[in-house]
Order: sequence, then C-alpha cells, then structure tokens
Amino acid sequence: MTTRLYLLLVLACMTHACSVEIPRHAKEVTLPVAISPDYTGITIPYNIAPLHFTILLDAEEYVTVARGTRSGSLIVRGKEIHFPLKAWRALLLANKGEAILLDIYLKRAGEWLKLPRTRNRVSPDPIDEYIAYRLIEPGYTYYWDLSIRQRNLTSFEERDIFNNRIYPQSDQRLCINCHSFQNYRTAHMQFHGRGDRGGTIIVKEGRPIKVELKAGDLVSGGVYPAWHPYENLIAYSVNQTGQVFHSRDPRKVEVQDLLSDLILYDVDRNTVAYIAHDSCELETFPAWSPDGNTLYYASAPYTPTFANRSRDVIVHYKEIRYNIVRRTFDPISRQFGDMEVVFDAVRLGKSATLPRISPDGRYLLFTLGEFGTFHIWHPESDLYIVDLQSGECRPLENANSSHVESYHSWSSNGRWIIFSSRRDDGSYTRPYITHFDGEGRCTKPFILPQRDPSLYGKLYKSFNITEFMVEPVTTSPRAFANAFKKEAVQARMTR
Amino acid sequence: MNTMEVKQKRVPVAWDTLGSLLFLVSVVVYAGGYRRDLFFRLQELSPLLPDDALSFRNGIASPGGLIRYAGAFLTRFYYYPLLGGAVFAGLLVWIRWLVGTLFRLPARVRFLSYLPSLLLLLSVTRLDHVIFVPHEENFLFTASLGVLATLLLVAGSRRARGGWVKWLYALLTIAVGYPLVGCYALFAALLIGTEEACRGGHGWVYALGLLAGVAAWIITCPLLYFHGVYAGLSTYNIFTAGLLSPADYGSGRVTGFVVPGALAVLAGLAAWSGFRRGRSGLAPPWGMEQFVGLLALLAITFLLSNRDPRFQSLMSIQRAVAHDRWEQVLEVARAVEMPDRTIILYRNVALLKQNRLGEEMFTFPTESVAMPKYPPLVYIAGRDLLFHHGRLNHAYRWAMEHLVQHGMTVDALRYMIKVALLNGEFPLAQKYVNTLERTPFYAETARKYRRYIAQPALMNEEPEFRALNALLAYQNLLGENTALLEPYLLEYYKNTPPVTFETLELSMSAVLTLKVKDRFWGLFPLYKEHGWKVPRHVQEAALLFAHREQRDLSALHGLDTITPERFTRFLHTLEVYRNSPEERLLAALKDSFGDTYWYYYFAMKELKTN
Repeated sequence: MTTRLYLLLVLACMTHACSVEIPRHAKEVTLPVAISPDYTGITIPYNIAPLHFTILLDAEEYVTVARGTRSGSLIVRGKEIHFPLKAWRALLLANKGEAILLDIYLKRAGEWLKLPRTRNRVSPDPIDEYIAYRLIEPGYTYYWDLSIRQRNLTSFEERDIFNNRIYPQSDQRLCINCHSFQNYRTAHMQFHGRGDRGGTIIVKEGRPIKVELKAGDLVSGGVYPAWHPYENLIAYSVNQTGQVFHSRDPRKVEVQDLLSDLILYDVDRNTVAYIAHDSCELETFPAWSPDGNTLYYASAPYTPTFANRSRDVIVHYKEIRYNIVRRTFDPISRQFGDMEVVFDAVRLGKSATLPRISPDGRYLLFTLGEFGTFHIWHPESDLYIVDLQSGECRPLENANSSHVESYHSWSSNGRWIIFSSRRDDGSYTRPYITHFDGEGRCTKPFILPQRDPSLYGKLYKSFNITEFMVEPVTTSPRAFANAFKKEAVQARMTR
Repeated sequence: MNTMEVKQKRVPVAWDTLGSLLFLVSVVVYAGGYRRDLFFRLQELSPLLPDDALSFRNGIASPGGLIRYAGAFLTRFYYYPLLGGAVFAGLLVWIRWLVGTLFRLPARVRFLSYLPSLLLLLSVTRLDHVIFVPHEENFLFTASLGVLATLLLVAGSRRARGGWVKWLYALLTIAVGYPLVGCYALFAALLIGTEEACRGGHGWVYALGLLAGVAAWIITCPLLYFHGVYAGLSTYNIFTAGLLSPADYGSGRVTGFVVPGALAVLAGLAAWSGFRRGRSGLAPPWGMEQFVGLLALLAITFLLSNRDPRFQSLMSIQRAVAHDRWEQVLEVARAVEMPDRTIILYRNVALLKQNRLGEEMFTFPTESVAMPKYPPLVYIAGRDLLFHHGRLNHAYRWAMEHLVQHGMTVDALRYMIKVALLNGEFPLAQKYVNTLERTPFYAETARKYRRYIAQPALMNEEPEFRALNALLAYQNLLGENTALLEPYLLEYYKNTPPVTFETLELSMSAVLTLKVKDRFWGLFPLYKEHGWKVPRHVQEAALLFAHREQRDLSALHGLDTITPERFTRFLHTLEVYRNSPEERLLAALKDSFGDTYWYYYFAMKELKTN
C-alpha cells in the first residue's frame, strides 16, 4: 500500500514537472542568481541528495530548469525548488563527470526573464553515503535536548543515533559528545555521556558497553577520541577543560584546557596507558594516519606563571598556541616514538589544531587560528593543508571564508571534505562540503542539502563533529540507553 | 399557565445560566485581567511553535505531540491577556459542558461538573517561580487540551452503536489517539471501556472480558509504539506521555499533582454518574444551592492560587520591562512593602534609566525578604538585568542558556536580537528577526528591528539603545562569573572605574549598597571633576562617612542646602536614641529618615544577595 502510494506520488511529481513548460522568448537579464543556499558554481558528487533551494528574487512566477550537459533535464515551478529524488538521481547519474546547468526564469510584470545560467560540475567521485553529527545549541554551559544523528547523503533520510530526550528528567539527561568510528565503519564506534549515569560507550562488533576511562592519575576520562584504523585501540586526549565567557569580545566564549595528556585505550584488554604526559605540554586532538603507523595531535608548550592554572589560562589565553606534532607507532609492540613537530604554528604566532590525514596519507588538514584550542569560537580560524611529501603549507583556498572554519573530516576516498563553518550568520555551525582533487586543491563548498531549503535559517542548533561513515549505525538508541543504565566497566591503568 | 407559574420555572433556569456566566466571567477576569501579567509572561516564556521541519518532527513525533503543538499555538493569544483569557475560559467552559452532558451527576451536586475545569485553572494559577525552571511543555494549555481530548473521545464513543463497534472504537482511540494526545487517549479508552462494561444488558463475562481487553490494549499499544516507533521515548513516559511530570514543577511540586488530580476527579465523576449519560436539557434545573456550590468552588480555587504579592509584582515588572515602560516598573516597585532582591534590582535599573538612581534608590523600600533558592536569580532576571546594565555578551549568554533549556521563546529572542544588533552581528540578528516575525502578534516588533539591520544608524534614534550607549564603554574581560548575578553586578561596578555619569551611578549604587567607604572616597571627586550634580544619596553618604571618619564636612563639595540640615537632625536623633534599644532607634530613624541612605546604612546589617 505504502509503495503504491509512493509510486503514485512520484508519478504525480514527475507529471507535474513534465507539465511545466520552459518559457519561450524569455528576455535574458544580468540579475545576480540569488538563491539560498548558494548552489551555484560548485562541484557535487554524483550520488548527492537533491539540492533544494529557494529563489530569493521576487517575481510573479518562477520556472527552474536543471539540464544535464550530457542528457536529461528537470523542470520545476515555484520559488522553492524541490527536485524529485529519483529523477534527480537519474539526472546526476546520466551526467557523471559532466555538469548540470541551472536556468532560472522569473515572470515580472507579465514578462519572462531569464537569469544568467549557472553551472555545477558533477564529479564522478562518490561521496560516502552517511555522515554523523551532533545537534547542539552553539556553546554555553547548560544542555537539554542533544542528539547524535546520522544522515544519508544520497537522500534526506535522517535519524537519531542517540538522543538524550530518552531520559525525561533533567537530572538524568546526559551531555552526549565526541562520537567516533573506526575507519568509517560503525560496528566499532564510541561516544561519551556526561552526567550521573555518564561514561564512555564503546561499541564493539555492534554491542555497546559503558566504560569508565578515568584510571590511575589521569586528569579525566577519555575526551577527544581517535580509533586506530584497524586495531582495537583508541587514542584519547584526557583534558581538564574550562569554559569562560568574554564580556565584550565578539568571540564570546573561550574553551581552554588547564591540563591535557594523551592516552591509548586498548578496547580488548580494557587498559589505558599514557602516550604523552608532559607537564610542560598541553596535548590534544589525536588523529591516526591511515596506515596506523603514526599518531598526529596538537600540542602547546605551556608552563603556567600562576599557581592557579584556571586563573593563568584566563590571563594568558592569547599566549597559549598549539603545534601539530606526531609520533610513530608500532602496532605490534604498541610503542610510540618521540614527538616530532610537523607544523610549527607557535613560531608563526598562530595556533594549529584538529589534524586530519587524507586517506592517501599525503595531506595533513588542520585548523589554524590566532591562539587557543577551541577554534569554533575564533572567527579568524581557517582550514590549512600541508603536503606531507613536500612540506608545503597553505590555506585551503576556496573553502575558507571570513568566518570560522573548523572541524573537518575526509571522505573515505579522500575526494570530499566536510567541514564546519559559521559563514552563514557567524554563530551557528553548518556543514559544508568541498571536492578535493588529490593535488591540494578544492572547489567552492556547498552546504549539506536539506529537504527544506530554509532549514538552516530556522534551526537553532549547530552541526557539531560532522564525520563521514560508509554505513549507518545500526545499534539502536535504546540499546545505548540500556548500556548507560548499567554500571561502567572500569578501565585499568598500565605502564 | 399563569404568570406565577412561569416565574417559578424561569428562576431555577436562571441559576444554571447565571452559574455558567459567573464561571466564564470569573475565568476571563481572573486569567485575562487580574493575573494578566503572569499569563503574559507565560506566553513569553513558553516555547514557540516549532519553526523548522526538524523541531516540528521532534515535537509532534512523540506521544502527545498534537496537544503540545496546539498548546503552543493557543498560548500565543496571551500576547493580549484578555484574548488569551477568553480562549482559556472558552476551553474550560467547553470542558465543563462536556462533563455535564457526558456524565449524569446526582441532581444536588451537578455543580461539581465544574471541578475538572477549576482544577485545570488552578494548575496554572498556582504557578510561581517554577515558570523560570527549564521545561519543554506548555503550562498554559497542554493539560486543558488533553482533558478536552479525553472528553471528546468519550463523547465520540457515545455515537458508536453496538458492542463490537464500541470495542473497536476503544481500541482505535488508543491506537490513533496515543500518538496525538498521549496518555489522555489511554485515559479516554479506560473511561469508554468501563462505561461499556457498566452498561446493562450484558453478562459479567462480557463486562470483564471487555475491561480486560481494553486494559490489555492500554498496556500493549503504547509498548508497541515504544518499541516500534518512538525510539527516543523514555520508559518513564510510556504511560504518562503528554502529562507534565510533578518533577517539572520543581519547588512547586504540589501544583504538579493538580492535573493528575483533575483526571482523577473526572474518573470519580464518571463513576459517580454510574457512567450514565448526562441529560442537561432534561435534568432538573439548578437551584440556588447549586449556584452557591459553584461560588464556593470558585472561591476555593482562587484561595488556593498563588497570591504571593512579590511574585505578582515581579510578573508586572517583567511585563513592563518587555514593553520598555520603566516608569511603570517604579510604580509597581514602590507599591511592594517588602520586596525581594529581584524587585530591588529591577527598580534600580528603572531609576538608572531615568538618571534617578543616586537620587531615589533609598526612597524605595530597602529591606528585603529572601528569594527561593531555586531557580537562581540569573534564570529569573539574568537576561533583562544584564542587558540593561550593558553587559551584552552576558545577556546573550543567558538568553542562549534559556533557549537551550526551554526551547526558543520570545523572551530569549528579544535579547538575542538586541545584542546581535548592538554587536553589529546583522546576519545573526536577521535570523532571529525572521523567527520573531513569524511569531503571531510580534511581527510589528520584528519589523522595527529589521529596519535597524538595513540601516544601523537608526539605532541611535532608538531610546532604548541610546540609553545603553553610556554603559557600553568598557574593556573586554574574560572569565567573569555571572551565575551569581547580584554579587557579580555589585563587585563589577564597585571595582570598575566609571567613565560616564551612568556608570558612576552604578558604581556609587554598588558602593553604597555594600557600604565600602574607601571606594566611595575614590569615586566622590569624579562629580566635581566632570561637573556632575552630586545626587542626594551620594550627599547623604558623604556626610555620614565624613562624620564617622571625623573629616571636615565643610570641605565636601556639591552639597545642597537641605541635605546637610537634615543630616544635623539625623545626628540629633541618633543622639536622642543613643542609649535606647536598637529596635527603637531604627523605628525612629525609619519614621523620619526612612527615605535616606542613613537609614539603609544602619538598618541593613547583612545584605543577602541572590
């Protein structure tokens, strides 16, 4: 019944689309193509969901034609453009490696006008089918309605991985954060829950268990995670973190580490051991190289002036800067080598965080700001890239804006980068996608398409930690909730 | 039929009608008039209608979603309290009418059909500071809509003919009603099943079978939804979905039991009626005793309502602030004999707005009573007070914290827009303005702000923004703790060098409140340096401190003629009562000098800030 209804609807949409005629004798005008989101002059994967948008120009009638340079076209009437999913997929598939031309016609004062044609390239590189992200209000200390969600990029299907609404009472709700997957797959994943029933949820072979990672003299349980690409090991930073507020500065918030180290958690043995534990360094944001033989992270040389560290990091907040460093790792002996600086941001008077290595191992992508660790609050922060073969470093041109660019994730084929940006309004983080050509260049980014093209304007939540996945998470929210209900398994500290 | 007979028949009918009218008018006058400020504030503090597909799906796609959504919509009408009151009254009258027609109560107690409606009214009028406690539900209409849904479902069952149709109806009530109205559908099914079981003409096997079947479905169906549809539903909420939990009422937990009480009363009335259909038209008309019974119920309802004058004043003050009516804030504050610190802080801001802080702050009542420990002051007034002190980022922060915990409300939007405008964050302001513009009754306000986005220079002509300019000349500070609001404001202004007359007013206000003499003498010369008139209370403090430190009073600058003369009388009074008990001294000082800093200095032993 449902299938039949669906087919009827598709048919109705297609009939509707087919019944729309392209205005003849339209006058070509040079008005700017004002559409929201801005889906003009971009490169899109051939398997992306329809790029719905709203035409921002006033008119009596609208007709939009999306025409493939190889074959096929879609014609849609109206100010808000919704493409039928199946027809869109067929259009993109037919024009893989080619382009989609967008012609927008407006009827004003009885006369049809044609806006300048725009061209979007259809890349033959597919994008991973899924992403995961947390929806959260931007910053601040309280939390209430948090969810880690997954979205199918080839459609608009979206659902909860976990939602803290599952706990009705305010004192039971958890602050859920820091989801991470092993090598783009979801059978092994983890995230944290802070609160009375908190702990770290480790999913192994699809089964979640709650673990308490704070062991021995660690300053905290695991915080920022990085699953080893093939071993059951997770590198974590352990952080004593504080959040403070600016009274006047447009940055508004600083999130600072008072103390931080790196640890390695052995999932199978349930043990933790230090990777980096230097009292004169603040180490954070670990990331494995794709071969699993190197661990990259951010590290700030820091010796407090005052005995009170909280006060010290507030007074000297602009002087704490991070380098990108790395250590070799032997997966057999599980030994790490010495720390080696890969990008010396401190020497440049900058601060580099969130290192991520491209799947081919050639590029290091990171966020560069003026100071500090939490660049999502630093408008000047941009994405930078280092060619690990040549050592050349430069900004990721085309991707950056005058606002924050921060958290980023490589697709499993290394051809797409999804990153967070606050370019829309300066406050709410949105996921942008850019195509990476493998030679260090990327294209004009586009915002993650939504069924409702006006969603971003109305949504008061940020997209946080957007990560690619090649498959959906199948563990149910209730299975996670049940895991949280149980006592945490205490990890053991080893040397 | 003679004239006397007609009169005898009409009089009882009039009691019935009079009762309905009395109820209607009482609710409109009480909820739309007398308590208009509470209801207006509830409207501002209640989550807006879900504005995006995601929030809509989150909201509606859980059991009880329909009544939550409808409740959020109806709440908007309280922008005009009388209109909101009329809608609320209409809903309660409808509920009462349904109770009256669905259940045949014994003739003498038919006025009890008003009880569920009155309890629903009470569930709102009992509200206190709990309205500032984080919650997602809508206090105003959700419960009433839920009870109405229950009654309509029962009414619908009356149209079902035949046993199996009724069975089917009860099952459908749960299957379809549960997603829409949550536990109210389960309750309706229970009433329908019980009514059918009690109906004569069937054996007890049928009755028991029916009851067992309905009960089994009441348990099974929500569990099926729980496992198959509502992945995010908590086990706690399976059978209570749509009902505010008593825990949501925080300190006012008793109020949390009023709605479940209304449902229990409804069940009781149904049982009392023997599940026999009411016949309002044919039932004996009301006598005066019925009317008196209703009158008594109304009186009890109003007596049990929250009558805390400070809370009501706070509601009035916050409504006045929302409309930028600062003179009205002062009127309300002056009428409160024993304020709490929230009222005092609002009053001081109102005085500051009119450059009267140093002149008049101690002419208002200065003794205060303790506030409830929860919710903290910063939840109650953080956005208002921080914004009107020019602490923009902090105001934005507490608006955001409010948004996080309550969902988007008008109260949060107002400050997020203003701060974004004043910070020059126009794309952000635009986003918030768009939401405000889509909110019923706020379109005009939104359009005003939209003009500033297009032409920021116009903000200089806006009195509210202009007044803030003098407070914005400060350096950025990182790491200030604003969670304890009043200590933060007092310490900040005590320690920060003032650069304008307005900031000097705030600094002096803090210094006088905290009685910090050293800092006072550091600030006092600024009046002379800038040629500013020395406010009255500052003169009073200068005379008092100089006298106590044996300074030369004649060296004090900027004094008028009246204050030193009055100070002489004050010293004389002190001398007269030197050997008297302190209470007598304070009583005498209050009589003659209750409007001076001198009285505050001696009477306020320990300042209890919130």
